[in-house]
Amino acid sequence: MKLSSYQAFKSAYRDTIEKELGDPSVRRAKKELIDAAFKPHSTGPYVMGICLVLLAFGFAGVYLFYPKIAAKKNTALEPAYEIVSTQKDLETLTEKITGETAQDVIRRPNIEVMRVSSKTGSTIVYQRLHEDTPITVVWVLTGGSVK
Amino acid sequence: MLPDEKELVIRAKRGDQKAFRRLVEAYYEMVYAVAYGILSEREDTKDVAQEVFLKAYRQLKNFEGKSKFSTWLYRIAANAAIDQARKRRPVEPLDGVDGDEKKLSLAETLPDGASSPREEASEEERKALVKKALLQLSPEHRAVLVLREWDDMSYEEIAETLKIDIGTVMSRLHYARKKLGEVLGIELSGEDLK
Amino acid sequence: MLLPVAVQAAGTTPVKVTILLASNQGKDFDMDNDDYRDELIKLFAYSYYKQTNELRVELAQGKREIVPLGDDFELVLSLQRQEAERIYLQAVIRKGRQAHVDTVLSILKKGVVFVGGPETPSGTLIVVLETGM
Repeated sequence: MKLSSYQAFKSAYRDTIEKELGDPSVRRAKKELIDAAFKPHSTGPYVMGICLVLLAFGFAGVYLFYPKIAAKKNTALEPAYEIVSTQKDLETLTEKITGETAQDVIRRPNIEVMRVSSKTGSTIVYQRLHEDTPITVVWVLTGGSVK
Repeated sequence: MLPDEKELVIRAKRGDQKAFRRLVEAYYEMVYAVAYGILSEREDTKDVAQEVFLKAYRQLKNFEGKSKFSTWLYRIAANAAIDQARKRRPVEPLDGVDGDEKKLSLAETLPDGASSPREEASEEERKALVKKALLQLSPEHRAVLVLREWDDMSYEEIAETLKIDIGTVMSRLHYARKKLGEVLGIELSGEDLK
Repeated sequence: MLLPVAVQAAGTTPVKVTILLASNQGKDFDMDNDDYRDELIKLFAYSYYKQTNELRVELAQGKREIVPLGDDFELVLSLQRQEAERIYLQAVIRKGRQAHVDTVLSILKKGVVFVGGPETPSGTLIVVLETGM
């Protein structure tokens, strides 16, 4: 493989940069930078005024409606799932990472699915590496479609 | 240049983050391209791009407006990328250490799967070739190359951006192109060296 | 990539939650950002993705955080425990008393997990959990 001329090199060079700029991860990096570092300030007397008004309404609402809310909370639904808190419950479901991720896992994988269940359908777990970041899918088959 | 750039810079200098945000949105790709042209590595480039804008925001109070904002930003970007490139381990030249050895070009050392020696490389192969060739140059040489070959800057603009003499720009560019010609096995014309 | 340190409550673990609805009605990525575009194309067979919400949840150990997902679905997140740089996170997508997906994940540093499958009138629910930002 060869580049036949300096102009061919220049063209390849420009193409390389052009394609790099078009990569979604570059757009993501730009957005992350803008959102994280240069978020516009959102305070101002006008906004503060609105907040105070809303707060006043909030207090009024609590004062007027609290007895009803308290009564309703007593009949709130209990979770239909168990909270896992003991070591023995944590059986690893993803000890075998298949395909392209297998050779990259030296010790424990970055993401392990310890447990998965559903009351509404069968579940599947799928993992792969995407640009050095492990991606994991935990899915319940109620009609959804995973490739 | 943004139509309201001067106004945005003035507002940003006063601490208006929204104004600086617009400058980031306008110039991110430009900064990224310069950094990538020098580093050829995505993760390093992302880090440098972030560092450039944070630095620019902190140092905006020192920007006096004597040059264009973009020129100032290019300088920060080129310097940051050069610094980052210098931190990396130096690349061993392919032509070996011993001067008596036959000097091989990059084209001769890379495996050639093409049936014809003049056949153009596939896209990925071209990209790899470009990267390998660039890494034979020092970061300073890569900086003038990216400003000339990607940004189409004049010698004067490159000199102003990098704060070096025009003569230095010309000699670095000449050397960079000649070196690339050698490593890629390309015969350069007089036009190529301008 | 290093991001500027955001103010974060002491002893909490941040998790970014992105809520998507996927369907085959249309051909678009109607998302506020291009995050996960590549992954969605590679992983799923849908042609249309709409982002309905994106938020950052600070999880404290032993405390449950509930995120509404729309159509009466909820995401319940709880941080079971932390060991060095590994966290144990339980994520449940439920509707009323019914747990549609209930999973416990062990995540080291940065990780992205797509949890989903429940059907809503607007499409299939996909919740993206991202840690280690």
